[in-house]
Parts: sequence; structure tokens; C-alpha cells
Amino acid sequence: MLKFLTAFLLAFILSFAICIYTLFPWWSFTIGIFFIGYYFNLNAFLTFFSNFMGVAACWFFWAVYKDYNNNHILSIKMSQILMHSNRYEILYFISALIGGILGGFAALAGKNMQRIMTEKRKKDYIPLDEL
Amino acid sequence: MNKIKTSVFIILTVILIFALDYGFIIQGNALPRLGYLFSPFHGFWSNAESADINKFKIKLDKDNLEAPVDIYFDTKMVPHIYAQNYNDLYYTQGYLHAKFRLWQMDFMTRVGGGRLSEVMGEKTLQIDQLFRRLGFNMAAENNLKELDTEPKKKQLLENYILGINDYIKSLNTSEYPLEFKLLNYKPELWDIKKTLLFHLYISYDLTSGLLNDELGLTNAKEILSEAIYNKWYGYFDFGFPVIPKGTPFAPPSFIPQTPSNQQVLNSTSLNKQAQQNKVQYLNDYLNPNPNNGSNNWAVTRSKSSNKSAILCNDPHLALKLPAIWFEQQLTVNNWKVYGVTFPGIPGILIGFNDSIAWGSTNAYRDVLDTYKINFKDSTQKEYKFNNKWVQSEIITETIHIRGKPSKIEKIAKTNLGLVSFTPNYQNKYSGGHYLALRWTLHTPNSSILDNHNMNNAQNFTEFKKSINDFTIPGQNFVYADRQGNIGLIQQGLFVAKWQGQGDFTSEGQDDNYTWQKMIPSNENPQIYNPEYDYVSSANQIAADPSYPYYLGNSTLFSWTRAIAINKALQNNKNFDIIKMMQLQTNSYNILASEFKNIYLKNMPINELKTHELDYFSLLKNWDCTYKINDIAATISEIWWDNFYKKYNDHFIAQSQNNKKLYDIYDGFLIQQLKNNPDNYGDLPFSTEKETVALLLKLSFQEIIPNLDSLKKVNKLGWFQYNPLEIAHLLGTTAVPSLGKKIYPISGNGYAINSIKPASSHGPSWRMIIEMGPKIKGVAIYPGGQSGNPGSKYYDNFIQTWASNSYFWIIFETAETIGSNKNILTQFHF
Repeated sequence: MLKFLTAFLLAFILSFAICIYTLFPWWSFTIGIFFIGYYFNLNAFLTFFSNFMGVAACWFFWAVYKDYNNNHILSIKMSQILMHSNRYEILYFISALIGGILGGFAALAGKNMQRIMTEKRKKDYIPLDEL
Repeated sequence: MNKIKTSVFIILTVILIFALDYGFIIQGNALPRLGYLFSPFHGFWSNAESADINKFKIKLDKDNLEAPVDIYFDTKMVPHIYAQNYNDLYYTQGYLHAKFRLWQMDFMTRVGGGRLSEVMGEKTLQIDQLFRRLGFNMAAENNLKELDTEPKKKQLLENYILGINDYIKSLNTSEYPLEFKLLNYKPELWDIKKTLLFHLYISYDLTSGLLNDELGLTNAKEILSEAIYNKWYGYFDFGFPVIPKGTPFAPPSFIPQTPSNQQVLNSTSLNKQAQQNKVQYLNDYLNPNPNNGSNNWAVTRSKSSNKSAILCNDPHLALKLPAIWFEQQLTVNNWKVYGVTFPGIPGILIGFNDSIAWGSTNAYRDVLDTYKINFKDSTQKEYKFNNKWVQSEIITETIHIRGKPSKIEKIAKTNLGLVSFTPNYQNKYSGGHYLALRWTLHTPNSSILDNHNMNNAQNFTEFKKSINDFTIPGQNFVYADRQGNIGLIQQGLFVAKWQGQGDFTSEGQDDNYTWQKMIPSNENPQIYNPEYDYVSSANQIAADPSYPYYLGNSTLFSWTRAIAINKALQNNKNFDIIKMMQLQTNSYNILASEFKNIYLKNMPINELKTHELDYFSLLKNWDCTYKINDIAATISEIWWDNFYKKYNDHFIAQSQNNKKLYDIYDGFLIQQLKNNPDNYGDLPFSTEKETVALLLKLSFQEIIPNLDSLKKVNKLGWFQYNPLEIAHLLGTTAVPSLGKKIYPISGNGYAINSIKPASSHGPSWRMIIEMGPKIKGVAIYPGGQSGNPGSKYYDNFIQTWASNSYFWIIFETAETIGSNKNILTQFHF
């Protein structure tokens, strides 16, 4: 549980730290999340879920923050363009979902990589007595 | 197998990133990259500008500045720039234009350069083809070369562009304007050609209406007999030319030679050409607004309650968001200039400085003529001219289309002009002929640099000199200064024409109809300190026939606003800013008032039913002013439209394929109905004999059901019937919410307050300046300083503008601006 929470928090902080540095492309945070998946040896479900929640929360939080400071001027216009609706709150969830899914998958990719690397290490390891 | 299983998420993640970062093109529409768009750090959320002014930042590159620059932003977000030299000034102006309006600038130059389809896909191909075929790229390249003759001023333009580019270079993907994200393309660096293309687009907007005028009237003239044509499309004189009647003119320095064969009215035929199968109608897609127009006037001290000259100007243009104007103060070493310009064009176009104020309206002189070219064959390589086969030059233009192979346009260039219209590219009137366009828009010029001298002019002589080489679009420049002088110059590159030259499409087979010479600037219509103490213009004809050069077809000019302005300025004294505000937003419609005189005199009231009389009686006490909830205004408008339509519809049957003929002129018709009702009450080409009374009755009875149904849905009030929508440049269907809808608004296209809701057109900038010991002024435009739909400064002026209110202008020196309480924030570099 603690490991799950740590992964979640780390995903949140890491995605924020990378995303806020906007010189990098918007998807750069997936590289950071990839390493969370790589080093946190959680099961597949928890790996996905913790990182999904971490990135989603981060993106949700930042969307709400930007929107609140903007007095919803843009979010209302965007929700009308994209969904023909005034329910601008939905946009927070769409942003969160896109970030979250990508985060979750990136973490699973990291976990994949970790397994490939261990298998490779196992293969590379030659017991001493066989020498 | 196992390997694939263990790396499945790596593959999936990569695919997912690619899919979310890919701009798909579906049915020709470029879609945004979803991941990018929705990332709160990079996408549209980062365009949600903080409403907190402390978060607003400007970063000029000090390496590109020679001396310190200060920028103060007032509560309207108008920048007041204080520089110590012109290089720094224009650099800063360029930077700020880009900072506030980059996407709009990019879009407008894409229109002019025929490069919309590069980013919008095939749906904008027709617009691109039009501007390519009109030779905009050629004209821009020629003007570019022309700038080399004035290297010092060109340097200032280059500094302006450096400022734009420094801003563009400073952007990362999160900072791109919203529209770039929605349409998924990147801003590209600016260059002089882009500025020139934008300037050409403005010239197009203000002069290309002449094309349909000329072709439409050629059609009308050809179908009707000469007698009928002259009866219905006759000479129009309403009494108030720009230069008042009786003003003496010097004899002309050149008298154009009228062609000996005198085939003016039968100059050429456009109709009798077999239609080809594969026809593209070019010009229908993007017609310039026929209502383009403007008002300006100035009064001397003796007509002002504060004993100072007052200058007013309201240019009427298409109302869009982001707004076409950007407002700013430019200051170099305490020389202050204030006003508006188009973002993309440096300097101040309309405004005032420490000594003088100026404004402009469109002259609408005939600077565009068409010639029918006889090509040997469809390759357009050789054409007959003066009984010889002459080689044409073929210009090749490549239009890149997003998601589709490029398209190549070939345009023949003849000595009579570019052959923009061919059997394959038709205008609705061009009838499948090869038509060459002779247009001063194609004459190389450096008019783009004129702003600089105009902004620095200190008196009438300097002002006149600064616009002496201004070519297109021809304008009526109004002038006032702090010494109380006023003046008006119609300036542009105008053709010395013989009577009637270029009213219709001409034969291009010899030089009988070609342009012979241009009118020297000093012979352009102008007036300085007239004895009646005011000058004004409202797109009417420049002068009466005593002016030694032919001014063009008299029926193509506006008339109603000119009468209203002249009468108001003649009959009143003691003007001040408040009174000028009332005049500038006056919604009295002279056409409606003349129409009222006609129906009050001729309407057979005893033949109306009670229900019809109810509506009619509303008109009786109406003051012909288009007020917000005015019901009589709506009735009058619908009635006039229907009455006028009756005349124009009767020409349809006479034309080929039931094509509508060019409308007869409303002013001419009204005038004839007033003076000559018996002769003009009978509809053209009808078998029965009509009278004005009968036409009034019929046209009124026909609109009753329409009025009833409007009444039922509570839309009989003027503004409810005719709501105004100011759309985003991308249009109401694509991005409706980026526009602004429906304001309770007064006004009418024929009134001084020339708001035309149906075409989203009207006063795009209202300015009133009192040139006293202390310069005072008010101004407003329907929009906001920011081009970002996510900014509260995007459309914040509209409500105030719609209620006919203004903002006071802040015009302070570098020493006093800091203590002005309306300054929001400041930057020092």
C-alpha cells in the first residue's frame, strides 16, 4: 500500500516537474513515468492504477488551476467548440483521462522493460561452477 | 511470442503517444493533436490567460535594442511605448503586435498570399486560387523591390519585423496562440513580403468591389437597350460631393484622348459565350463586402465650443474577432503618436500626434478595369493586340494543399493586365471570357512606408507630402491641427480617364481603351480651411463634373451618410466631443426618410385593411432613426427591401438563364420617384401599367404575413429582427463560441452609425479628437487588444461599443504617464 502511494505521489510530482518545463514536448513526462514503472515492482494492475491516478490528478489539478485563474473564459468556449455544451468541467476529466491513460501505459511499459532486462540478466548470468 | 508479450506495453505506449500526437486529417479537415491540445501544460489550457494582471509578462530582447524602452499598459491593455529612436520603437511595436495578434497576422497574410490551403486543406482552395489569380504574389514581390529605393525607411520596417520574429522565436509549443493548436500548425517567421501581402489584402478589400460593379453593369448594359439602360442606371447627383460644389479646380495638366470609334456603351459583350462544362466560380466565394465605407469629418475653431479643431473618423469594415485594429501610443524622444494600425503594418494608420490628427475613408475611385483578351488558343500564349499576335508571359503559382497533392495555377500576363478570369475560372458575371485586370493594386509602390512620415507630420504641408506617393487603396484623408486648420485630400494613384472610360468591360484588341496617364497627386481633389468651417467625406463621389478628370460611375458611390453629415455640420455650431459622439452614433436613415416621403404622399391608405393600417400607422410618426427596439424601423426596412426588389426582379426575365441583373441604384431610384413618379412608377418590362401607389400597396401587403410571424415570436423590434454577430475569422460554423453574439444595438447601413448586422459590418473604429491646447480624445473599436480567445481582453470593448459609448484616450508624456491612475502595469527594458 505504501509502495502504491509512493508510486502515485511520485507520478504526480514527476509528471508535474517535467510538464511544467514546457520546452520539452507535451508527452515527455511518459519517460519519467516509465522509470517509475521500471523501479517500483508493483503488480500490473497497481502499476497502471498508481501512475494513471498520479498523472491524471496532476493534469486535472493544473487544468482546474489554469481555468480558475482564467474565470472559465476559455474553457466555456472550448467546451462549446468540442462538445457543443457549456459543461466546461468535462474538459478537466478529458485532460485527466488522456494524461492518466498515457501515464498508466508508460508505467506498464517500464514494467515490461524491467522484466525484459531481468530475463536478459538471467540469461547473461553463467553459474561459476560451469566455468 | 513471449518477447512480444513482455514488450506489449512498450509497443502500445509508443503507438498511443504517436496517435495522440498525430494530426489526423478527416474529410479534408485538419484535426488537432489531441494529447497536445488537452495537455494542461502545453495545450489550450495554457492559453487560458490569467485574469491577474501581475501574471502578464513581456520580454524584449535587450540585445536588439539600442537604448532603453519603456512600455506602459493602460486599463484597456493599450501599450504606450516610449523609445529613444525609431529602430527601437518599431522593434517594440512589432514585438507587441505579434504578442497580441500573431495568429490573426498569420491568417491574413495566408489569405493574401493564397496559402490558406497549406493549413486548412482543400476547403479553402477557392480562396487561394482567387488571390493567386489576382496576382498578389507578383504584386508583393514588385513592391518588395520598390522598397529598396528608400533604404532608410526600409530599415525601420526591418526592425518592426525583427520584433515580430523575436517574439515568434521566443515561443515554445505551449505558448502558440490557440488557433495554431486547433488547426495543428506552427507559426512561421515573418518577413516583409507578409506585411506587403496584408497591405494588398486591405487594398483588395477596399477596391475589388469595382470588379463586380464593372462586370455587372456590362451585363446590364448589354441586355437592355441603351435607352432603357440610361433610364434605370442614369447619372446620380444628390448634391454633396466630398469637395463641395462651386469649389474651383485648376485646369488639368493632361486631357485623356477619347477613342475615335466612340464605342463606349457598346465597348464589349460578356454574355454570348458558350458555357464550358468544367467551370469554377471564383469570386462568388469571397466577395468583398459591398458595404465597405467610412465617415470622417473635421470642424474648425469657429464651430467648436472649446475653440479647437475637432476631427472624427469611423472606418467601416467587416467586424471580426480578433478585431482588425490594434491600438497603441508610439513615442520617440517625446514625440507622441496615438491611434490604430492593422497588426502586421508598422506605425499608426489612423490617429493623431502632438500637432495634427488625421483619418481616412475609402475613395472608391475606379482603379480597376477589365479587358477582353483574344487569345490564339487555350494555352493563352499569344493574344491579338493592334492586329499582331503578342506573346504573353505565363506566371506559375503552386498551391500546396494539406493532405492532398499540390495544385498549379497558370495565369497569363498581358500588357493589359493579368488574365485572372478564363473559361475555366469564372466570376458570376465574366461569362466565360478571358478577362485581363488592369488594377493599380499591381502598380509597384512603397505606400507601406508612408505611415512613418505621416506620423511625424507637424502641419498640412508635411502631411500632404507624407501621403503624396500613396497609391492604393485611394482614401479621403481628413486633417486637423492644433492651430485650428482643417483639410481634406483625396489621395491615391488615380487614372486620368476620358468620360465613361472603364465603366464597362472594354475590348482588349487594341490600345483604344488602355490607360493613358495617371493623375498627378497635386491635381487630386483637395480642400484646405474652407469658408464654411468643416470638411467631410462618406464614400460619396469626390467632386461634381467641374472637376477636370472623370471620377467614375456616379451611381456606385454612397450618398445617405454624406447628406446626413453635411446637414449636421452645416446647421450646428458649438461642437464638442460629446456632441460629436452623438453625431457619430446617429442612426437616422435618409433613405428611409425619403422613402417615407414617397409613401406618405402616394400610398392609397383607403385601400388598406384595418390590420394593414395598424402597421402603417406605426410608420407615420416614426423619426426614421433605427433605435434598438424600434418596430417602425423593422417595418420600414422590410417594406423598402420588398419594394426595391420589385424593380430589380423585373429585369431578371430579360437576362440569360434568368440571371439577376445588377441591381439598379437605390439612391437613383429614390430620387426619380421623388422628382419623376409618373415615369418611374411603371416597372420595366411589365405588360401592365403600374403606378407608384400600386407598387407601394402591393409591396406593403405582401410583407404583412412576414410582419405577423415576426410579431408572434417577438422579433419585430429592430435589434431583435436584425441581431449582430461578430464572428471569429475562422467563421461561425467552425468556431461559433470564439465569436460574440447578439448585442442590443441601434444603427443602419444608410445611417452615420452604419451598423449592418446582416453582414456583420460597421464602424470598426470610432475616434473623436479635439486638437486643443491639451489634446483630448475618445475612441473605441468592437473587439479587444488581445487576439487570444482565452483572454479577458479579447472582446472586452464590444459591449461598450454596442451601447454607443467610448473610452477616453490616455495621451501622456514619458514624465507624466507613470502617475496616470489608469495605468495597469509597466515594463522597462
